[in-house]
Amino acid sequence: MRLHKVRRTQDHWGPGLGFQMRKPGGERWRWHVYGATRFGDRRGIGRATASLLAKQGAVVVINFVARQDAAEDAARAIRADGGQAVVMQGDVRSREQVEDIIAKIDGRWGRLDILINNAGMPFVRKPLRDMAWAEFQQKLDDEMKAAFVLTQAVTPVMARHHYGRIVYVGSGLSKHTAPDMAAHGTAKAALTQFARYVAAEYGPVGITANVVSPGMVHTEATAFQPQNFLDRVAAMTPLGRIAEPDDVARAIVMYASRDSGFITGTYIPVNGGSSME
Amino acid sequence: MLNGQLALVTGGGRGIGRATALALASRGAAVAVNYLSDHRAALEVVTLIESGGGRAFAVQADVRREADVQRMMERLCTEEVPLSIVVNNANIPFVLKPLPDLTWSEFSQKVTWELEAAFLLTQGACAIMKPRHYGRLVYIGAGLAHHAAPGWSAHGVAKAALEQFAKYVATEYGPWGITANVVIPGLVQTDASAFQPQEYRQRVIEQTPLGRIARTEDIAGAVLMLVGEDSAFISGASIPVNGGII
Repeated sequence: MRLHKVRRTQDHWGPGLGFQMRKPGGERWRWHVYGATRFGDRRGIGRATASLLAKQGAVVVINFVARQDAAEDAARAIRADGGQAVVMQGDVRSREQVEDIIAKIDGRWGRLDILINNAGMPFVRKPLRDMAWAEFQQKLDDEMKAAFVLTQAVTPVMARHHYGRIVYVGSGLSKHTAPDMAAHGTAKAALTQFARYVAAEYGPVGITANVVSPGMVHTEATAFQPQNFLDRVAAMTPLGRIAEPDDVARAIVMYASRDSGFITGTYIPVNGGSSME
Repeated sequence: MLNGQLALVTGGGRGIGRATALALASRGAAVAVNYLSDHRAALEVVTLIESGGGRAFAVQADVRREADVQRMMERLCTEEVPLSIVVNNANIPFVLKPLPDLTWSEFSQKVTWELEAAFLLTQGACAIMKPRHYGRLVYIGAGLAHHAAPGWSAHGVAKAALEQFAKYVATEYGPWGITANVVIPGLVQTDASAFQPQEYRQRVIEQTPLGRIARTEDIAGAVLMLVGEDSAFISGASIPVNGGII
């Protein structure tokens, strides 16, 4: 289960994605993470992922739409830890802005090995009977446009080196339901199937695509949930707790690693066993 | 990063088991290489690991026999480092036959043995892991548990049952900090699949987005992911490792 607060304006969220660079023949991996600062969240999945990739020798590019302070803060934290990070502004739903960012990265580093499509798109939390088509459509459009545009933009760069790792962040709500989450769950289901098509079509050029799908995660986006609800979820989870952003980030990093070389088109739930999807 | 942990790989002498044993050792785990009858193959894996500076030993046991599994667990408990990782890999033999020709005893033998091995191993290993509140179990499944191919019913059905068993293990042992996951290989280049005609291989390759058949190292890589720290909150999951073939 993953529940989000409705994000009222674009100012409240920052989509994130990641890129990895690898030095040809080099021992040390250099990564490019175009990481997330969702909701200006100091504890979000994107930020945790960026931080972990940096710890593994990554150069981290942190993307933001409006919350420059949060992005800069995440980059500073990485640099203070001895890592490398830069920030880049851009709305991932815009083809022009995405292409501009990819061109900058390609121009500077000459390759791009990982994309982490973690963008948290805003959505309306409502029962279906009260939902306007425009509300429903907005989430679907945002979610898919970002994934579509990003995938088309990064794959040519990855294909040049016959190597790429794309991780899409899904949601358990694409497999089961929760009240008021129709827009989110349906959009994530579409994203999950999109990932399979990416795997099928880009496999021949050495690119893998997988979905890492969190259940309920402790972030600012779920902080509004009453404590007794969080306790109930934890009690129903075999591992006895709710995920921390780090749990999800570590799974993402696994799928971005070399160990996952022959894994593509798959869906991996990170929910402590609460729902065995 | 697996330093200070003991890993048991059943059927660790050959194929996927061998690659997994080597991979685990390369990350610092001490490895118990279980085998049924091929002593030489198991010793070879041990020698390879030791020559790389790792710690490994061979342990004979028929994982379908309770007394054997018990004896193996007792042996593992004599090691300095605690048992933390179990890879349920041992290939349980089965009859490849169309359903009309298959006898119940041929069919039930595979299903029973597959589950008996997993059951005994799980109970034995979890009893050791529970007090330390840490354990990683990985079961090797099969793509044929999800789709069908003519003649493979015994194998496919047994692996489907194994996969569901793993989910129950994840549910019931989760409170003790033990995770259980399944790695699902498609066609893998091993001795066990060597009988497949070249023409069939070629067809699989053509249908595989990544354009090749899995090597045992590919499966070992997925196992490594599920036994490391990064997978701490992943349990009851099944990961296909098939290069994206549908």
